[in-house]
Amino acid sequence: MELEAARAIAAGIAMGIGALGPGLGIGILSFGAMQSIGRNPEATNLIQTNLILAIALTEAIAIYALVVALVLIFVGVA
Amino acid sequence: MCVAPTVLLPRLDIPVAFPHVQVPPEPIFTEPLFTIGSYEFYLVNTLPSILLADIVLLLLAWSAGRKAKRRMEQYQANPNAVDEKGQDMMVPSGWWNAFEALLEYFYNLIRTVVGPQWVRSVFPLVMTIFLFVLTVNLLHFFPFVDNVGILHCAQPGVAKGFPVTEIGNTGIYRFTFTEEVGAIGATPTYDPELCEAAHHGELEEGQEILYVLAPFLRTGTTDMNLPLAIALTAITAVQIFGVRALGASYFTKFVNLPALSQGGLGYVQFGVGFLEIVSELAKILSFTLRLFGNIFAGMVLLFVIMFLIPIGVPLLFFILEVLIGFIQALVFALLTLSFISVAMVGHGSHDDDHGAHAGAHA
Repeated sequence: MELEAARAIAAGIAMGIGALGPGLGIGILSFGAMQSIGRNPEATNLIQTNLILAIALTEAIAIYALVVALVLIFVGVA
Repeated sequence: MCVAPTVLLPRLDIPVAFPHVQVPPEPIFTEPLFTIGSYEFYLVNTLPSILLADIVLLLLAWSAGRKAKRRMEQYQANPNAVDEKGQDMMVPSGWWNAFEALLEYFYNLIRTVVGPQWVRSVFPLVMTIFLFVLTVNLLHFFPFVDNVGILHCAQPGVAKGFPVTEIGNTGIYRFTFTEEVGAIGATPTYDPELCEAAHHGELEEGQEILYVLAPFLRTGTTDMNLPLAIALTAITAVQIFGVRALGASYFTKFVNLPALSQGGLGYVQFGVGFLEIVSELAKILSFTLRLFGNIFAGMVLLFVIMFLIPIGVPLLFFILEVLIGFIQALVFALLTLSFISVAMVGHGSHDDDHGAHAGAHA
């Protein structure tokens, strides 16, 4: 296989599988947050702040995959 | 030396070139600024953009602060005076109002998290991180960022290049398409002599070389060095606040000698202490990659969308990127805040009055 083709496929796989887990995670987080806001609307501000933090931590995993994919595509390709 | 806007319209013989994307920032000049030993220091294009962000932030803060001070003096001179809108002198307006609302929100948030005795020392750090990262991120949307710069000869193994044509007789160039080069550029063949000739404008008829663009400005956070620097500052500050709050006993979190005397589970606790050291290092890595990854990916996303559909649609993605720039600044500041509040709570003592934000671990 050509090196460039292999890099492109690898980047696609890295990002695709890497986004799977965090996607589920953010879904579960938002599910919980929505439910708690529905039950206790007064706590919305506190829940939102914590939700953003938790999403950022979850999303970091996808960002690792993204960095790997970007490095595969953009570093050292002619 | 010449300048080229890359983002122009297709189908009108004004092509949209796919910008050259590279992870490290592009040097504006091909010669290094200075060398120390065998290390060469280049003027990279993220540096002017960070300085510009500093200037913008300082000007905003200065103008807001000056207005607040002037109004305060007028109020003290005459408590019944009114401003041009007929309002009381101490009713904030304009930038002063925006800054006051933002600072007040953060001040109250930080007070609930770290408690009233620490808020005055934690607030400046967290607020600075937020405002600085936000300003740098939003600089992404200034005109000329990422698309106006200096053309360099494309070098094989680094980037794909485009041919250029001059716009009128202005000395300003734009990328052009030819059938064989296409929209995403061609792999260049590098000829130092030809490149030198082109640099002096002595290219002969029929000779053509391929160029890449090194923009004058590129968002600071798309260079991994800036997030790393802020992350190191933040994590160092976390350790300092931990020591200030707990004294020398802060370090028992890492080297848990007292636990050794307990035997049994104490040995496990001692081992876990070393994992805490790894966890601090992982926080630096995670801070750096989160900010860099989000903003860099945003830059690539805007490039790709601009290349695919240059009219209208990029606006939606610009809105998305403004949101992401804001959220990442907020996340960086809030995570620093949570790490500080975790570090200031004694190890093993379950002090619950430090608020709900203490729950976050990297």
